[in-house]
Amino acid sequence: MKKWLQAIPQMLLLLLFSWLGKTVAAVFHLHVPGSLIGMMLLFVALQAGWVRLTWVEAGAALLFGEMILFFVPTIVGIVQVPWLLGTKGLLVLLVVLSGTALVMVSTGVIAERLHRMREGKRRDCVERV
Amino acid sequence: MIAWSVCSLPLTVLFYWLSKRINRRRPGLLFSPAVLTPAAVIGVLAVSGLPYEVYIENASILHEMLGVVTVAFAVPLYRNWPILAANWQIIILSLAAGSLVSIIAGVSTTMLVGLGETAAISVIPRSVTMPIAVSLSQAIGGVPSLTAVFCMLTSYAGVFMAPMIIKRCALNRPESIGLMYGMGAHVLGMVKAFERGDLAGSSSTLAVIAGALISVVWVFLLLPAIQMWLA
Repeated sequence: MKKWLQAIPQMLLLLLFSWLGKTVAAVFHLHVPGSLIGMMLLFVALQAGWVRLTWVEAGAALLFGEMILFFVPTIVGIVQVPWLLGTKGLLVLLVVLSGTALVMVSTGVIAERLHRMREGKRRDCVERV
Repeated sequence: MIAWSVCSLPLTVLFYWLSKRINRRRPGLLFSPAVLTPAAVIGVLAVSGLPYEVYIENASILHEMLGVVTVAFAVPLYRNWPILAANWQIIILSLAAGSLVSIIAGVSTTMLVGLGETAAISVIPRSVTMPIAVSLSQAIGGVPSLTAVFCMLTSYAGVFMAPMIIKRCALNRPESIGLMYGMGAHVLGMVKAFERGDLAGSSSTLAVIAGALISVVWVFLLLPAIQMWLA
């Protein structure tokens, strides 16, 4: 109960930022989702010290913990896409598996190479000294 | 009819609460609240004959909350900022590559197997964390529900394939393993990355958030070309 009492006002603050982001997106006719702009605004506010981490931390943790609940209406929407359950659904699985493997390999290998390159450079500097 | 529509929201919350309890007793993919709750709601819609449009209208507050969850991502971004600032070249380059591969591979394979344009547009935000992916899908003219399914499958597929990829590609550094998990399998991947230590976990958290932002940039840069290609 105490968790909720602390989290609810914090969630209202997060809601305020979400609304701010949507307003900015609407006023400037941006195609970027307003919630992303709200996230950037909150991040800037945290960095600038206008909003303290302790003011939003508990609210964010509670939202992340119950995130699945908010997806339910969207996932229920698959009733509008009945072909997903047929053979075409298997094709979706194929698309997802191949794509995800490619994404993970490219991200992981590039990150690993870049780390190695940086460490190599560092070693060169040390050797030169 | 009226009675059922009023029940949309409380029933959804009740089913969610119940499936969380079931999941605690029976852990596993099929018993996850992400599967059980929508299944129960679909069951009620089928039995009561309540149209989906009426249901979503009455449960729209839950959908609105996705925007608030997106805003809340500023908190982990702020917390992990020092790591991002210290390694920004590596993180941004690898995530930019990963998200570009995701978009190109997604669109081209979807068209190749003949799932059609709507599916191809909806598959674009697949490697982005679900709350952001859903609003991105809406913004580019996809079907948010389809994107949500793609996202869920991606998350599971990523977690399933990750150990194999780590071994095959000889990934040793916790940073690169974390980035791979976050970019490939978003939130579920994050959980797995944290099992490999805090550095891997923080890297994956950054990959989820920064990866989403970078994907948004790619999407808006590439969308005209993709639309031209699909047309």
